[in-house]
Amino acid sequence: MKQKTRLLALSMAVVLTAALFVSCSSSKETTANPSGASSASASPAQVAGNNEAQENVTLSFTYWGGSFEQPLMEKLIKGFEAQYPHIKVEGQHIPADYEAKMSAMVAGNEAPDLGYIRDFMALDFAKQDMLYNIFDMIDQDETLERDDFVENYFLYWDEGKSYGMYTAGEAYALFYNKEAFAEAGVDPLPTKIEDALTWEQLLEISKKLTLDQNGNNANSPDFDPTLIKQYGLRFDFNQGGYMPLVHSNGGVYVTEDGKFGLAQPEGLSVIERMGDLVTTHHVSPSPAEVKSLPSTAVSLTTRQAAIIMIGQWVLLDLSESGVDFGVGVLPKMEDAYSTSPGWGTIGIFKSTEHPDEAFLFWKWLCDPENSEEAHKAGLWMPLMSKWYTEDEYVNRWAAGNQAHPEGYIDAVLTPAINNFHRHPSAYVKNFAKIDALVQPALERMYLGEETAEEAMQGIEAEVEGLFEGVYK
Amino acid sequence: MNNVAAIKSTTFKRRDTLAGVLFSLPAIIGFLAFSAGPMVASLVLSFTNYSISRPSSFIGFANYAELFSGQDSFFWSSVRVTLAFAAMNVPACILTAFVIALLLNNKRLRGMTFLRAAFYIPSILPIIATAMIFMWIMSPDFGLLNAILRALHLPTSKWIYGNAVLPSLLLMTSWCSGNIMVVFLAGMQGIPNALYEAIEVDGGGTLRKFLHCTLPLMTPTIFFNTVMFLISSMQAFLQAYIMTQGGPNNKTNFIVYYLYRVAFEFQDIGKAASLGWVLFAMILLVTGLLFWSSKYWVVYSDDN
Repeated sequence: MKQKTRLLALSMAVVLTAALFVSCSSSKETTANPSGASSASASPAQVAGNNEAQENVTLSFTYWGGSFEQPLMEKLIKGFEAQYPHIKVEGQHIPADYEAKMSAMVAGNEAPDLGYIRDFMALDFAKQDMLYNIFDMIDQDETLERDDFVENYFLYWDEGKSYGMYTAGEAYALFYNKEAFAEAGVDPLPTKIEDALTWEQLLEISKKLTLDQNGNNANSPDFDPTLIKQYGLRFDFNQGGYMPLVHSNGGVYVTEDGKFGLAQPEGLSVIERMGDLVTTHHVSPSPAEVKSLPSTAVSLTTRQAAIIMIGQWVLLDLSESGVDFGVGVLPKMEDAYSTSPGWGTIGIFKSTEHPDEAFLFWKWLCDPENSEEAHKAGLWMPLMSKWYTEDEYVNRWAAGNQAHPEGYIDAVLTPAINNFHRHPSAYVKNFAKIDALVQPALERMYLGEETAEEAMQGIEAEVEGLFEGVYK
Repeated sequence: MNNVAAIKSTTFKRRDTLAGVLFSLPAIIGFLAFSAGPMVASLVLSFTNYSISRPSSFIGFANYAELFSGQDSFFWSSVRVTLAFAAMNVPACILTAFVIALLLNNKRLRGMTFLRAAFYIPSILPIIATAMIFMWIMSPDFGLLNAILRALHLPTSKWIYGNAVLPSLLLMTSWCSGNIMVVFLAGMQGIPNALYEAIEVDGGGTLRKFLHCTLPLMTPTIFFNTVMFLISSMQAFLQAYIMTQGGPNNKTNFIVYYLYRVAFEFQDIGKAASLGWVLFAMILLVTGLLFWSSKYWVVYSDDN
């Protein structure tokens, strides 16, 4: 017991000391740069001037990612260091609990120079003037223009102020195991938006693809829903799973008049139908069942799921596993087709002593000329426009390799430009606390304890009490 | 004569006190150096709205008010699950450990050394490893427990992934209660054989030996184990952190786990500190109650 209290107490001490340091350093900053943002934006240029001296610089950089992602990132870092020998990048891979570690680092005044940050945290950091406005940095750079980048991928905390771009372009889609499809006699999924499945069609296919231990599918009278060997459709329970569908159904997360979108008819009907997949039709694993499944990518490889609904970053793991897989567009609900990216950004912290080098590294990562491997491997979609619009560039990453199956350009690349909605975490203030209410409510629905309506309307008032506005 | 005796006894007392203080000095120094400061710090922080990214200011009792007024959506439910878990976990583990210790204390038992080691091993395994194994055992689709239930044509459960999460966790914590068992075993071996022989001479059997000798003489050990284990149960964290992430539906959102979330997910350090102090007060209260109750059921051998 003593040890535990001590641990707790120790961590509090760390926090207190950190608080002292934070307050000290922030006061230093304010005296040095009384005009705040404008002077901060001037500093990269100044450093750029000194750059000729090529003094040695070490950057700290934190990132998340799976087991295939880490070696890839390390390779990219080596490539950058080879090109800029005076800059050393200390990459720190944080595979789990990223938000907590980032919070602790920032609290301990140990924030990296730049790093992956969940968009909802970055939004908060940016508001507190802890991150650089990426527009200022791009504008200072003679080799780049804002128009070189895909407009969709900038994340804003205020008019004309962007706390960064997504870590990479990403888009949600369906991925499926071809072997499972062939065995069940199901046609490949459509890859063009105009052919997108309706919800009912997706449900029918999922039923055919859901098999119990005896090989009966979900349409069979002998189907045993307690012993499922292969789920038809696996989806995420977080915003990544439901928001593209909610958008496609004409819904939103926060309505114009500040109401909770998932409790409104357009949102609710999506949540309800997703709940039915689990509780009524038994074609999708519940949160309980997912806990005993391997990762989404692996469950497709091992045929514990026949279709997965996830972001295109999964291509890296799928192609590494060697499974024969295909890609398709998401189902289309009652309104226009919609897809969404992930919810991570790369933020450059104002606490860095080397903003110019940090920006240089960011810029280097963003340019597929340098990080082509990460793009070809399926992990990232480019952040820069010409890699979507000019065939010569598109073909360098999005076709003709193992990670990008036939139909990818129609199913993923084009919607990322034309049918794109950011996730609410990118623009809804106080998202972490709101989501802490939404997730358990969804769990109650997936456990069959509450209907979608009871679950969503039950938290509606409380969620609306937590809304502090949006930055869109 | 009397005077001399009095002087002698006071010097003895003084020496005893000095020795006592000296022996506990490492703990006292440790407390002052590592615990006292941070404790004061966290108390001070609990009256601020300190958040990682924001400047902080004193807000008086606002953090506590927010918790107790129900404005905080998770506080009361986390108090409930913490108390419920402690109320189940303490008797379950104390009982399991006690029964195992009783069985292992049998001198005619074969392979005793092996068995004692076998029952103790789970408590020295890293909890991460234990938790991972139990997550597999309790998996609704592929787990061992449901496979056994299915083979017996009994209804299956979602275990830690469904509503039965708290009772399911007891399976794991009881399995890990080897360290409590060892303390019980040591206590049982400290019971003088003469007492058992006296009962035998009076014609008493095993049950009498247990009821009139083992049980009363073990009450101080039971008391000690209960206090220690109650405190650690109320501080439950790892089960939630590793196995359930507070779920499903916040059913394992224990206070310490919630504290961690408030601090590092919601970045509300001031409120997290106040949660820590609320838990401290709760533990103090519950332990105080136990100590008060001890005079009614704990027998010390010198009280007769």
